[in-house]
Amino acid sequence: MTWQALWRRMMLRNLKMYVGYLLTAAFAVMMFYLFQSLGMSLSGEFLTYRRGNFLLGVLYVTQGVIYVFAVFFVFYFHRLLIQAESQALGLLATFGMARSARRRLVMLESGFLGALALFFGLLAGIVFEPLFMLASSVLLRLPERVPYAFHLAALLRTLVFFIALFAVEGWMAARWATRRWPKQLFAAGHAVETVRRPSWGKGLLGFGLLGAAYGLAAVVHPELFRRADAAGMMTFGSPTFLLWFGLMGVMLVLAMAGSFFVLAEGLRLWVRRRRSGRGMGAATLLTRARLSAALRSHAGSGTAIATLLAVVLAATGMLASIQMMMLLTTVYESPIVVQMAAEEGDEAAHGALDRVETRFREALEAAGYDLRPTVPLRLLTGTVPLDGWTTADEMDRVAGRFIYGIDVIGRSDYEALTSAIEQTVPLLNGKYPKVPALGPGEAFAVRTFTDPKGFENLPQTAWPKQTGEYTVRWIQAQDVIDREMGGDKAFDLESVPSMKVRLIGAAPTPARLMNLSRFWIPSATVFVVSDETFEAMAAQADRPGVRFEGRALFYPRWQGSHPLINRLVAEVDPPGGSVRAGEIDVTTLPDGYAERYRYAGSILFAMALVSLLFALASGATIYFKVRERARSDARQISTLRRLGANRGTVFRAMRREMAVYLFAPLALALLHAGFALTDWRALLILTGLDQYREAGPIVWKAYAAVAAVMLFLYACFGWAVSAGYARSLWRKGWERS
Amino acid sequence: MALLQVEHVQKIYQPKGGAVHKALDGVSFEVEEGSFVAIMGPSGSGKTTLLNLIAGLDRPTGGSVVIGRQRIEGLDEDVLADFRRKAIGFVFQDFNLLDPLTVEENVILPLTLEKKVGRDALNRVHDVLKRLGLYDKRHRFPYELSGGEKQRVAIARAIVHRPLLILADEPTGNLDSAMSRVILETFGELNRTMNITVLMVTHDPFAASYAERVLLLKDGRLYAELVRGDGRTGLYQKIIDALSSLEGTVASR
Repeated sequence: MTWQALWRRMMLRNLKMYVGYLLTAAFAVMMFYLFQSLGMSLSGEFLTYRRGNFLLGVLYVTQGVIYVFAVFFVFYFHRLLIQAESQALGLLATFGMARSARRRLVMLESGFLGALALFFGLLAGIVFEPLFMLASSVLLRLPERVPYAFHLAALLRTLVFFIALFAVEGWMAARWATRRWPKQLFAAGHAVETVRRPSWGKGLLGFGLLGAAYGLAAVVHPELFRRADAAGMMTFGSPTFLLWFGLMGVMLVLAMAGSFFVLAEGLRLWVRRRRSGRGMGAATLLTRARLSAALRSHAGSGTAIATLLAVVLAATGMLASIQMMMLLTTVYESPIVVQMAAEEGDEAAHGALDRVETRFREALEAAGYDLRPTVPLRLLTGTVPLDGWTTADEMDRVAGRFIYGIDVIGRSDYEALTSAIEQTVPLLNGKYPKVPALGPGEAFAVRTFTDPKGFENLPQTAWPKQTGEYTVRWIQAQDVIDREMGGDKAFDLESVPSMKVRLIGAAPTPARLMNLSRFWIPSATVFVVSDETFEAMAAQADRPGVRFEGRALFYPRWQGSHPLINRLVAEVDPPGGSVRAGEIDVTTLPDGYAERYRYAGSILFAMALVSLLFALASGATIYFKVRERARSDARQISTLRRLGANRGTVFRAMRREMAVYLFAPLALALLHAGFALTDWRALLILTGLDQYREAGPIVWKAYAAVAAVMLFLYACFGWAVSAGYARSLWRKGWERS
Repeated sequence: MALLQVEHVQKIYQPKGGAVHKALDGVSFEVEEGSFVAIMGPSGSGKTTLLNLIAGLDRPTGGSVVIGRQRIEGLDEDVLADFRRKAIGFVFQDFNLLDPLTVEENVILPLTLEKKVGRDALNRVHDVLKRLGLYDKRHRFPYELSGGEKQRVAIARAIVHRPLLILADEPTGNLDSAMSRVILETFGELNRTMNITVLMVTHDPFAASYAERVLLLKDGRLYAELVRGDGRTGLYQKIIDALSSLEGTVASR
């Protein structure tokens, strides 16, 4: 019999101790492999549909998070495992095992456990892959099922990553075990806390540090941004930017240090104060006595878990808020449920427009949608020069910043359109300005996609802002191409028909008036004119590429119509995703909305998986930490049994103790993430990203959803583990008794 | 012939920012081959520190320890490990048996470290287990044994590789008086019949009275040396007297 054989026997008979580590490592391997494989399945032919890259981006972020978690937990767990084995290592060292042999032993063990984790993780990954692909297809609401395919590259990547990880971690653990004298190894194996009186100073320092971190996050950090931004000092790389950025690091350090002191000292202070109360039950007394002795040793792991958990929660909230903003943007960008448009004057296109409209109406009505009367659209596209430049200036800047694209629409069309939008898309109710009375040759500018605050700050050079007279020119796209790209014919601005209008006022709307479409100059401004003025302008603007007609369809419950809408668009579209159908443009809100909604779901799906991995690993970390004290715990239970403690008392005490170990870091993480999201929310508003101020609720909903999942998992885990641990201690206590 | 020579051994601890603490302050003595020596003293007198230094489990701040002809301070840790493997057997207060291994496997452990892995090794284990009355329990796990049996397994493990010296740190500290007597008689018998040298740290006068010689430590110094003259009872009485004197000294300070 060799010592290697003895060690193997010892491992096999002591599997319980290794199960937590093995499960976590194998789970990490499985998740890593599945996400690699999913990424590869999606990155091929499958993701040719629009915005597929976004989904891949989410997957890459998730993979990144899994990398970080895998490294952290594999390292942390093995360190705990080695500490649990340090009594045996100390004994071997005492009996004369050379350092090289100890190093080999630890490396071999790491390799063996790593190989087991890799084998079972990959096996589980390969077995569950079809199910995972199916679940992904359903949960991500992909248009079709993700095809199952074995990716050798995913397997190899997983192998390379984890072999390297286990090797580095094994080497470090071996270093730990060989650098210690036998006496130190024995001491590490008998983790008995020296019960010290908790320090009021350190406890208060902990709360103070947390208060400072939260104050920075809630007040100072956003305020610094606001002031620096207002003063124009918030440019990338500027000292103010670096200060603002550096403050994030300061907040992180303060939050971590504060968490540590709160867990190590503050919580113990509370526990000790409660201990002095009279009439306390035995279980409560036992729980508090044990907690006041052991909390300090849990503070380090608790801080790490609280920080990582806060990152998961905050990242979920942030990603969800970005998705929500994108979802809102989709609605604001495409306020018309179904918009179809063609160039006015083209008889063939006009006929096609009628046919497409009829087809859509019939199909939607057949599917049970309550279609409102079609709103007809007429639109002219033109430009206005700003600040009264001469023609020569305009020619120099024709495609630059100083000539501005506008759309012109008649007043009755504007009112019909905005009324229909507001009735059908409740989010946009009341978002469009009322247009005052307009005389002949007068216009009212509606600046679209702009919040009221931003509207005040917009410079004149960015749009026609000042009231007064403007020359509207009916420039075509081809004119710009000729001018800029050296097209077939020279661009002569003087020959472009134009008309003078008098701007009598302007107002913003956060939405667009029409769906973002194909018009040639990015235009955010609509000139609303009287119907008579519109007719006069349309008669003058008799050039190709300037006059458009269209139809706008509206119906309630449009969110669910996207599969039908997709089919209808496909009927008039060639395959490949273009929305042009001959001379007809079809743009729809449900399609974009559903797509964006799907991505928001994918974020939560990915974060829920990461949370699951995290909950398992962090729970197991705490369990290991608790098991470190198993020997002294058994002794304690033995004493308690001699004193007459019954099973219920011990079980209740264990359950409460485990609850504190699990939920104290979680509570801190919820606070950290809450303040991080407050800072984030302020940042979104200040930068104008959350211009509609409606991302907040979804952030908190996502945060609450992931937090609830965590709480549930922790509760289940805590219940199972504390019961198991208490049972084993009770049995050992009996043996000792 | 002196098997163990301890000369002017010092051990000083100074935690970062803390006060200097002399755990051992110039302790010197010798232990003859085949003798049974006990080291006694009150808590904090430096008994276990001395044992750890002799075993090479810790490094002295000054002085020297020689076992056989080997001077052990300053040895490379691997050489020291090799020396421990061959020359020293350990018995701990809390047994330090590996719970997942059976009695037989726990006892064979030191032999496996010496790469003695064949039938001979197993026979030697069985011999030792028979001598200590544990042969029938060789397939049991530690949790299936009483405290005394566990300590006898630990003794079997300490002698199976035929070391020059057995170091026992409070071997009866976790046992009741009946079990303690069995263990101490086992040590005495091994010492007499196998000529095994035993150095035992204890705070129990009754346990120390099983030795031939008792060294009394106080505040890290050798306070007294007692030798058995006319039987165990006499030595026991000497120990009690010495302890009274030692406690008196302590009390008068």
